[in-house]
Amino acid sequence: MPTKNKMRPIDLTKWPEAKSLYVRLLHSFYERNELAKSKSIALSLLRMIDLLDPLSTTLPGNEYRALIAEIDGDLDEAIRYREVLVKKIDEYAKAKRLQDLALKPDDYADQLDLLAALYCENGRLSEAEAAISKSEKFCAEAGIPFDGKDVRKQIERERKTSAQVTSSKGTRNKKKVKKKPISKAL
Amino acid sequence: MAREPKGKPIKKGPKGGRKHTPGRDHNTKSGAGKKKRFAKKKRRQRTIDQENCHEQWVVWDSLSDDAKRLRPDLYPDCPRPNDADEE
Repeated sequence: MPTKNKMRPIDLTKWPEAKSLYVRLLHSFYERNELAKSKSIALSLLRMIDLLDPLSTTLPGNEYRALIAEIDGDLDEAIRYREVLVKKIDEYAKAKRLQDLALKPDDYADQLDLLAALYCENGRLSEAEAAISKSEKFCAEAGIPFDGKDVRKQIERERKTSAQVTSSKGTRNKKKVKKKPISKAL
Repeated sequence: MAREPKGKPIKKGPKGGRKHTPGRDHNTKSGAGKKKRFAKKKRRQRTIDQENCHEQWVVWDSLSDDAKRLRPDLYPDCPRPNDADEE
């Protein structure tokens, strides 16, 4: 009996549609702060990405999923996807072949800044500092301006706050609030 | 004797009056100019779109197979210019 080829041909023609959804999502979430609308766009994007890149092997697949997880309030998931994304670009950045992926040095630095911001938001301050330092070093080597100054300030602020809380109350007990995932919320 | 009107015969209603024709005697003088302006604007936009499309295809063709696998979002959202010309 002939075996079926499990590898589906990738439908490239659907990617521009996914990209436009992603742009709409960025606009509604960051610029207009419309959470309800963002969630409905995120759900459409998630369904599309599940068809286009089910195994998260592409850069946009990981990037889109990271943003969707962030909107969903699942920071651990967002960090996981963002880490995979940075790891994939890392190989090209080390070999100084970012242009092979049609990326610029500031795109890579931006990804590191975003990862640092997510770490900071999740309370993983040492990892946040490592990521932002890596970004700063990369920017210095590439000769581009460093854009993550505000993220660094935020990390320092968080570090001071956590130090004060630790000194006044002892260990900090942070309650984790479980949110419904987007697919179940709507 | 009444003269016969030139051109198309005027349509008339059951009572003999001239039948209603929307826009009769109200054609704007600027209509022709507008048409030209819109056509020019559309032509300019079409040229920009074609240039963008060409650039997108140049970027896509310059990617290696590995890069194409990693960055499918760079796939152009317009048909390849040569293919469009052939059609």
